[in-house]
Amino acid sequence: MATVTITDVWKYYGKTMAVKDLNIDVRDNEFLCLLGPSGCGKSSTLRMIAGLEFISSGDIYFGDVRVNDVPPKDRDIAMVFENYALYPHKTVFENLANPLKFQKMNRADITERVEWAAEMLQISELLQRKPVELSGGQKQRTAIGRAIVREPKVFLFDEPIAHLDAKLRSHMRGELKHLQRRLETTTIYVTHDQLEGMTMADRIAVMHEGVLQQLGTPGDIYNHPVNEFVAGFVGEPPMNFLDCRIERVGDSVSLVNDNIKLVLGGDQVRRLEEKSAAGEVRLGIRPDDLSVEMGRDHGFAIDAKIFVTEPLGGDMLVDAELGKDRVTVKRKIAEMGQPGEPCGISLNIEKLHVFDRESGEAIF
Amino acid sequence: MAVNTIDSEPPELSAYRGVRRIDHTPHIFNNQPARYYLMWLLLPAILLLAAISLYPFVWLIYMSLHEVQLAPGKSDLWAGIDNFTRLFSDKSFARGWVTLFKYSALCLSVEITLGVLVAVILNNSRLEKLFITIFLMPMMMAPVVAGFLYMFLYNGTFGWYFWLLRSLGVLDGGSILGNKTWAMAGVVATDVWQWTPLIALITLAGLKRVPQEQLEANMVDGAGPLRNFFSVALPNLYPFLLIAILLRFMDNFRFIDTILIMTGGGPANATKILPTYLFDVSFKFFELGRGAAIAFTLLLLTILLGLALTKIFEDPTRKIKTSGTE
Ligand SMILES: Nc1ncnc2c1ncn2[C@@H]1O[C@H](COP(=O)(O)OP(=O)(O)OP(=O)(O)O)[C@@H](O)[C@H]1O
Ligand SMILES: [Mg+2]
Repeated sequence: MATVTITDVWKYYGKTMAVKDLNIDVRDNEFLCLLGPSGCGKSSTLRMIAGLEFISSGDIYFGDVRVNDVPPKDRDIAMVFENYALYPHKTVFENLANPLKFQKMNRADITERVEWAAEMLQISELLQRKPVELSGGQKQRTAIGRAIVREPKVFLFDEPIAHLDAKLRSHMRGELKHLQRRLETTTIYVTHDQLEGMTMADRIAVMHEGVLQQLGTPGDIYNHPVNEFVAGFVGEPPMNFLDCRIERVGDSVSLVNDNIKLVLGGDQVRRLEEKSAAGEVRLGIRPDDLSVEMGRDHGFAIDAKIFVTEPLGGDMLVDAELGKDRVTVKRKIAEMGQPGEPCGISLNIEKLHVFDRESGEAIF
Repeated sequence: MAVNTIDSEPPELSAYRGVRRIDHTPHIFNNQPARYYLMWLLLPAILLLAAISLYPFVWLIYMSLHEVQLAPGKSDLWAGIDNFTRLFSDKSFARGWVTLFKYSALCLSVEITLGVLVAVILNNSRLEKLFITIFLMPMMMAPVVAGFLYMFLYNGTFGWYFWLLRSLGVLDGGSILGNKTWAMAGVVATDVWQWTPLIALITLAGLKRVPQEQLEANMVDGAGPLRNFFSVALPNLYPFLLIAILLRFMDNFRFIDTILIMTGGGPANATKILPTYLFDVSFKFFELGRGAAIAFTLLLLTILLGLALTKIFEDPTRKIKTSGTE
């Protein structure tokens, strides 16, 4: 049993506020991802959980035990650092064996564990090398190996695969997720890459400027972002945003700007009324929920002009200009339009997100 | 370098089938580009160094092979390797070496232990800058002055240390520098007092370079502060300690000012390290040929020990096994 509970945690560095009033409960055996842009306080949070950083205010519990004053060595955690932090004077084998030696494990068992971990991470041939003789990816896997040789209460990963090339990264995403499921160990994983969060995590905690924005399953975060920041941060290519105003004519309520007019459904109108929203709002729509047709006779509701088309192999992205706004549309690959050519766009009204213009809070 | 190791390819590559491979290695492997022009740049410095250090060195060898005559007009007599062979039967010569090793080992071990300890205590403390400035003061003193200072401190009539040790009951009767065991401790203490700060300074610089994240990783792995120091900080300090040890051991092998002032090698040769014996032979007995022979052995051993130390303390992270030709 290893749950991690973070209650009302604040972190200051002098005058810099890195983490503000953070509350997260990590469940047993859960893969929780701390997601956010650079400098949002992810590492600070992780380091406080590890005991490497002093907690300015608030408490952290492992299970029922308050660990604020427990030194790292007694917390029974394993951590992978952002910049590997391998011991340069030790071989890969000795690096992996290091945590086991502190547990006073006997030699034969150490060798067995290290070889098991090395096998899993495909670094068996490198065991006798020193860290300087490894490539970045091999170093990273050694660092991961040093964490998994033990059976800790909690795994802490600080952007463990950020420095790998795209292909290896996608491979390691699968490996790490598989590993976590197999080892059934509570895991807290820091990343700024939303794709890693979406693909690996049971739940994601999205942070921005030290503040927790939303905590939920990847599906929650993707489909029901609580504000414009979360909506824009998660999803690739990112969500399109357009400024609109709410217009009521008789019973029908619609979102209008110079180029578009969208009549809202009953549910959506009710939601607007609940939040008593009126006037200016911001509309959000994902590139997948837009359709585009090339040419003048498109038969779609909205006229637009092509800005650029980007083929992705099977799919393509079309950047289209709606007056002075620009939207990205994802569709199956088709003929490439030339910049400036006319095209038509339609939206899936069901998938619309509407945000308060002022606060950025989601209305729906 | 590491880039060219070809013993095993990265595992992620071997997963692919049907990729283009190159299995031969070029004839010329790891050849450095020619850099002869560097020699021309270095030549003036080499010539200058040769003039001021090679010339005396040649003279040293010449003298060690002759019976040098001091009276004007008399030419030196060829002695072959007589000066060297005579050293084998010279008891004082052998004893000089033993004393020198004892002295140097004592100085080094105390200085390194104390220096590292001081550095660790000072590191990241608030008064670090102030303390290191104060600690460095003895180092600024000429060794002769340090010798005089300690001679007075040890003095049997008004010496403060003498009084202190006497009051503590450690020293029963006699003077410090007049006692065979205490005299050695006395000269070692002087050296320690003067040079521990240097070691502390070098170690402090080294401690700043110990990567924080390695210490943190080791803590997470389960190390307490002491284990953390020995298993992460110390190995990272090796290159710095090497410099410190090299500097100090070579100084021990050539500085005689302090000992000459304090004991002159006595009592009963208890502090007569080889360089002081060399001083006696050359400048008291004026046997310049024999002195040169002793100096030559001293030089030779200094070089050999220096090389050995460098080997022992070689930065382990730099040791790269290369499978290519070297
Ligand atoms: N030791 C420190 N001293 C002062 N400020 C710090 C320190 N460490 C972090 N900060 C500040 O705290 C804030 C959060 O830093 P943190 O390292 O937690 O960000 P992060 O989310 O991990 O970013 P990244 O993705 O770039 O690693 C930043 O504004 C940073 O400048
Ligand atoms: Mg970080």
